[in-house]
Amino acid sequence: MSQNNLLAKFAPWFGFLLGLILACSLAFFFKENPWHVLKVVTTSFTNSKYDFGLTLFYTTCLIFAGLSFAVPMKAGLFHIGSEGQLTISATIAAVVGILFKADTLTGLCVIFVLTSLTGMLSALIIALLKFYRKAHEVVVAIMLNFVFAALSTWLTINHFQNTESQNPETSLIASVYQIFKDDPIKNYFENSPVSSFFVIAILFCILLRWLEEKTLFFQIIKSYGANPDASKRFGFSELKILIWVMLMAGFFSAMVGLTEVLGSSFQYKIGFSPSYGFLGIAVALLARQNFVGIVGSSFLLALLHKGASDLDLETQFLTRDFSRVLQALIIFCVAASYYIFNYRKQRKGGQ
Amino acid sequence: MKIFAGLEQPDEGSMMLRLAPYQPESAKDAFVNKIGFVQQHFLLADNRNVLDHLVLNWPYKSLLRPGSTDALLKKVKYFGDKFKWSINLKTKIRNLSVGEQQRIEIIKALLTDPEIIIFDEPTAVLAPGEILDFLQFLKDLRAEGKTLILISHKLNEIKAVADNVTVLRHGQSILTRPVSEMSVADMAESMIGQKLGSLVTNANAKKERNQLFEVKDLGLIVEKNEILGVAGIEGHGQSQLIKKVLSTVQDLEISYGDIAEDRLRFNLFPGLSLVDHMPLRHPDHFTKHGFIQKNKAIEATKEVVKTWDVRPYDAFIAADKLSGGNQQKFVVGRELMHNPDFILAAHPTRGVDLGAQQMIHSALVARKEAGKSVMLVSSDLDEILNLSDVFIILNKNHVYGPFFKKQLSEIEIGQFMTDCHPQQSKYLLGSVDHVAE
Repeated sequence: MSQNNLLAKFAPWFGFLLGLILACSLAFFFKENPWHVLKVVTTSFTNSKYDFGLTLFYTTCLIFAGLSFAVPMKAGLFHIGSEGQLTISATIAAVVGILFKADTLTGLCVIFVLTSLTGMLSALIIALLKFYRKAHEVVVAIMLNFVFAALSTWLTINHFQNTESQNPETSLIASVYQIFKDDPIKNYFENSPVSSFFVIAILFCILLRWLEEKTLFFQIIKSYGANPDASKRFGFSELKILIWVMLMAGFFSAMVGLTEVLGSSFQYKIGFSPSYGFLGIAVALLARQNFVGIVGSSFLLALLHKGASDLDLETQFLTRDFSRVLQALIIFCVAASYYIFNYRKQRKGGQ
Repeated sequence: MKIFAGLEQPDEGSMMLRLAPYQPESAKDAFVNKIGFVQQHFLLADNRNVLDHLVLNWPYKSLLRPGSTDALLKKVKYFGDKFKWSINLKTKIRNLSVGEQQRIEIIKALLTDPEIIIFDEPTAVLAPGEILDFLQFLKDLRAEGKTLILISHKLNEIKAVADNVTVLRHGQSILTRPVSEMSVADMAESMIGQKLGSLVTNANAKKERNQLFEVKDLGLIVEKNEILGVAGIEGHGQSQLIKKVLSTVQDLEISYGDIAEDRLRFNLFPGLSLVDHMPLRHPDHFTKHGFIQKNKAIEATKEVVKTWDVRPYDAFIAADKLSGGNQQKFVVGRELMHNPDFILAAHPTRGVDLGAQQMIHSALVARKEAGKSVMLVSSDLDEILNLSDVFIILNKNHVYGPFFKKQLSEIEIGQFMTDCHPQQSKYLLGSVDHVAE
């Protein structure tokens, strides 16, 4: 591998480091020591088992959100609708968990199926509008994010509000469905939000990577992403490709909702997601859409998120909001480095 | 040439221009040094119209009068008259044929009034009459004191217009000599490194007719054991006809090879390796229950690369890293590998060297002799007349024919292409106007 290829391959990580350095340097303006900020941001997950578990919970959600972006990206689609899909899916998971009375296994299966269907159908809208009305997937997804957020809020506040709380959240799902309360992983990490969904997320990454290597189906998706005209000429149906990638994207968005409702809070809380859907974009770009790489980049962004959230406790002048600035700077640098290095590569390679 | 035009950076070596060192950092440096470049693969934005492209390249626009295009329009009209091209400035690029797009590329380069102009295979998509006009224009430019670099596989054109010729083979400069000291055969020989074999022709015109299928809504019958030529100026319905034919063979489930009219757009996936292309194009042969049989695909790719001399010999190279000629050789090898019953060969030799041209022509004739059908679409009339048993002529989306080999003279064919033949309407077979995208 030539030096340039190597540089291009690791470009997002250079961007990540640069973003981190820039963000910590900002602390100067708030009369904070950048070293201290860097230390808080990068090591707060090691404070306790609970902190580590919390970081792994964020990692789980980010893995699913990253997959939700990476799969459509293989087909050349910029899927920014994960946030809306995971919101409505989490709401439906909670609603079904409250309304549906059955034994544990049946109930969990029904919750899983209906939540997945919700995510998939909500993502399907994007595929259908793109194919039949030539609507751009980014515009449709952004609008749907608002629609689903409003719908979730309406359902929660008006129909399923937890009467024992003043927070905007649904009641708890039936206790027979709260089996992840006694999850071995959760127990190991001192009852932190992490659960077996973490293992499921990693297994999905490995499975997708394997399918990508071995199956014609994924090859067809990649061919459409590389050259839609040639893909159509080869006889592959554009509609089928769009539908399948968006169904998968919707499914993984729904898995974020399930991770929250079945694995952590056992209810839907408005605003439970610290923009997992958007952070998933950074996760996937950082991993260059490599399904297994998404595990690493998710962990990295998760520890960053965890550390940045702790800044208001550990520093005198910085608040939680600063974590947004920090994340934004890093995402900006990652994206910029990706294009800068690829541009250099193109100039050299003449592609 | 890309290095000379500032589009790529050299790994080593140096260049001199007008007795001074020349190191272009970008295409802008080439413009400043009065270098124009008409590339083989066009650099046009599909969604913009012709005028937008020309305005972008117009060096005399100013911030104060950005809309002032009078002088530009005058110059475009001058070129249009000179080449006898009709140019609709409001047409979007995506609605232009390949031939028309090339005209825009040529005018774009000429607008900057360059002193040195590089033409990469400029006549590949022009009609026979247009080529003569174009070559004359090259001579006019030379007379005006311009320096022209003409990259071409058509050695007759080099012989007709060039003063000096440099022969390249496998990336090496073989020789540079005055054209007057070399015959076309000499050039061909030094190009392929051996004596050029006799020109492939399809001498044994077939006697019996045996239908493979009829193109729907057109009444055009494609026979087994036959090469059906499609002649016509680019952009006169070739794309629509190809769509119709492909849709027919797909409906009838006839096995087919598809050497597309634009390999980068329809035949190749940038970023995917040559091996990756195999299961996509031949899923029946390289997949089992939806799973790719990687080893089988690797073996087949290596076989194609070796048989068709696709360089570099690397089955795992990304398709977009190959040169145009090698891409085409790979496409032809891949499409012919399972001996399909019908072969669509649209401009099969565009951009490939003489040795490969011969190889492709021989392969098409061999398939025909083995009882298969070939539809050869080409803007090179010699190619059509040499290889076809039967041919049709396209003009303004109308299909004329079919004509048997030697039924028409070249002059008559030219008349059909330009609506001047006295019996034009008698031979009208149908129209390819209404083809869904």
